[in-house]
Amino acid sequence: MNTHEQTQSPRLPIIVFAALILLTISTVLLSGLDVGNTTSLLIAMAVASMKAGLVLYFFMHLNHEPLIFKLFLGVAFFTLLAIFVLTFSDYSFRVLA
Amino acid sequence: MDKAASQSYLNSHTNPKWTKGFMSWFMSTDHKRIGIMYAMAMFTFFFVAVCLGFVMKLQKMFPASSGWEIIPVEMYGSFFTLHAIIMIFLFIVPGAPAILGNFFLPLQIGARDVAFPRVNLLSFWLYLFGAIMAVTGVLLGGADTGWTFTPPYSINTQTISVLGIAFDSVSWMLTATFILGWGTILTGINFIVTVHRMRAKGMGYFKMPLFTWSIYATSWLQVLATPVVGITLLMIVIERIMPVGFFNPAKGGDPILFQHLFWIYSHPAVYIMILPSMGLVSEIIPTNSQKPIFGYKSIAIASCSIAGVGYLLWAHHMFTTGMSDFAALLFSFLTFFVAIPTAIKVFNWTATLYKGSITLTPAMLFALAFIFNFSIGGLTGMFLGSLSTDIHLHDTDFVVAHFHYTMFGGAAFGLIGGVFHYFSKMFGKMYSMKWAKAGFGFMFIGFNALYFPMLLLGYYGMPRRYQTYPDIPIFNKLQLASTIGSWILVTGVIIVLAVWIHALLKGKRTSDPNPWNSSTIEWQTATPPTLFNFEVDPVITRDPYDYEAFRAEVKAGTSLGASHD
Amino acid sequence: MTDQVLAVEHHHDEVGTRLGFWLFLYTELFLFAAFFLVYAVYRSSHLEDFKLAAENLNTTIGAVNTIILLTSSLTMVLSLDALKKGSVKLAKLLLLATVALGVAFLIIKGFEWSAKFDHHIFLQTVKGIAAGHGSPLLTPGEEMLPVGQVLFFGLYFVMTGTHALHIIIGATWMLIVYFWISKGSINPENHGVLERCGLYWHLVDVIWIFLFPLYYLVA
Repeated sequence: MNTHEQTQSPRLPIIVFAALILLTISTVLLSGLDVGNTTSLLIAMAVASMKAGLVLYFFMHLNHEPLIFKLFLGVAFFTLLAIFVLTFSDYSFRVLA
Repeated sequence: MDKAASQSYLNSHTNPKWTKGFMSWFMSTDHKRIGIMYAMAMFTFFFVAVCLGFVMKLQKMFPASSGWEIIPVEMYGSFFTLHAIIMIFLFIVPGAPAILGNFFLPLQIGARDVAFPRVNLLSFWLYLFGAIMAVTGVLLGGADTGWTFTPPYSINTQTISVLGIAFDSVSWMLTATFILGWGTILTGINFIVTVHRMRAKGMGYFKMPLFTWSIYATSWLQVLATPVVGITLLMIVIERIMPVGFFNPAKGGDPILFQHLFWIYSHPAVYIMILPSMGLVSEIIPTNSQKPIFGYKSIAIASCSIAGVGYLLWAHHMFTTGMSDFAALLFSFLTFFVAIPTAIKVFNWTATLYKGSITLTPAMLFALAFIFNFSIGGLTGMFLGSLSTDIHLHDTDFVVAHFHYTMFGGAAFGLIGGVFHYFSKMFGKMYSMKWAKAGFGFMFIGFNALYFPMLLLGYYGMPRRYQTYPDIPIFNKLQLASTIGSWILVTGVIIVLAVWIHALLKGKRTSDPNPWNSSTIEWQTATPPTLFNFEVDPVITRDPYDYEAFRAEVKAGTSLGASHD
Repeated sequence: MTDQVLAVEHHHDEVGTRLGFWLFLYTELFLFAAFFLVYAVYRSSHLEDFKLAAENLNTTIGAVNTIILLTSSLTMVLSLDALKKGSVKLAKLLLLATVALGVAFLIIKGFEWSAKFDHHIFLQTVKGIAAGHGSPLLTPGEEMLPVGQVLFFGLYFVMTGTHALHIIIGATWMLIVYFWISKGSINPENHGVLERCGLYWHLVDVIWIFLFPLYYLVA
């Protein structure tokens, strides 16, 4: 096995880490804004997705993986999306007694 | 290659510590041995559950007024729960992938083993552990929740151990199911990686046999659906022991949400059950018609789209629960989509038969019966997928008959046909053709005599899960016909199992590598296969069902396994 | 006989193993997805109760724990990099740092939980419902929680509990890996296990990245 395949300088992880911390601080600050429930939830989820994306792509080295890894991630992601959307096709249209 | 590796896998072992006897199997990481161990365990459980079904049908012979009670009314719930848990979680969900998938997936893609042989053995142990837990759970009181564990009943019900000890056997059974789930998840992961990483040289994705394609699609469902139900069942356990609220309406929970989560797994699970059997039919039919399968690519793609679409229509089990009308419409609409790839397969199989030189081997008979039964099962599914008819038919015997037509008449018939197809390759022994065909005859007639009346019973309003019924002439007649059908069916099952056991113990030895003249690669190696499956790692040069090229190879005396350079 | 065993085992496909491990991670993800779905449904139907209940959680503690986990992810990445480059000592040090951060997370979580227990929030979700008002387990004057808050805290305890369980598993695994690095069976040439351990740890981090806003920021 080639040991020198993906060795990288510690700079990139540290930059990513800084971005993650910044996003964490900003999501805490943004949660203080009074913009309504839906909007604040959307903002929080958007920031969280960005953070998760950074961890997946850089920390979990998806950037170095072959295409098949990204396809698998796509399959998992769209299945998750389908579960949520289809379940809410029930709950969003419930006529409550 | 040393001498041991060219011996049959039945004589050579993978574990240097245990070279003989029981442990050389139980500790073996050889995918073929693991497949056979699964077969032994699963068909044993299958037979136990068949017996439970037989007793339940016996009970159904007697209307309430007759006063006959074969099963007391308070035990009937435990009976059908146990029948369902064994059949679903111990037999038909893991069934075809674990038995024939384990044995033949590596052979079909020209690999030496699966990607993670030790994980494969772990899957088997988890299966066995979960199965033992489930069975002991029954002795400790069982569960009367139905296999769906629907709350709030499953949260509140208390069962009493036969041994007289207070024991939460429902939580115990739920945990057993969770463990069984991990067994199938790991098998699924194993097969996906095997297909992606271990195909023989020259085997592109569209050169893989169709059974491999169907197992591949199944594996994705196992990986992506099983964890959801696993944690959901654990949430019921948590709710039973720690009184937090998830699904109990008394604590603000929504029991319908449980049903969503449950069916998010359990609807894809029906495709986990049926897809591998479809794959087996796709192997059996071209072999016994001696011509290429019609529409190879469309069947391969149909397998994947059944898996994909099959994930999106779980809530058609819930039309009558009180979920929103919009969701009901949406899920009904989506349900009809899955009929498309399914019908494509049925048309392709029948088109393959056209002008083929058909041999009616036992496997072929089961495959043809699969098409017949599964068509009935699939079309009655369309009735249930339509909102208006479902309201009438929901929770009646119609539903029971529908899913037995797909699961038993379809999936189990396909699996049994597959075992007949591959029997000589697996064990190097041949069974009695005559008795195998007799067993098929009993099973096919008995099956239809049992379940067709149930379709009618359901249509007339006979509810499912009831121990008895009022004395109405049409019910009495149909129930009697159905019970008599169960006797014929059980006779057939016993004959089939006896044929296998007899063949194992006293069957004629055979080393004929290819008794049915099949063109796919797993038949081009020794019978029974060697430890590494092929003497020389194969190189694939032609399509799996190219019978012309195959006949030319036979004439020239070369075969896939031997062509190496 | 032994050589045939080796022949099977020696076929070692690092990319394939990683691919399989990613699939395993997706099963973990879907396991939590079921929790998140339950959370989403109940939040949509009990919005006010969820917001009131969330006020009982301390945002600062949540944010500190988030930063701790993110830092531990960084040390994990650096540890793997160090091992790949051959600096085994540094790799071991960074791995221990990761474990320490994981333990710190658990300790903070533990204080948070016990504070909730002290305020009888768990009991309120528990016995309050079972026994109705005036449960002997509640001090006089304490009211039973509304059902929406019962659901919130039930989910809070079980989801963070399951997450904590994953932290414990991850930390234990890292200690085992540490031991193996010391023994030399994991080394710069053979670092697959550390890599997969890292993937697992990052996934646990990703799950917390979503848990944090949903529990600590929705108020």
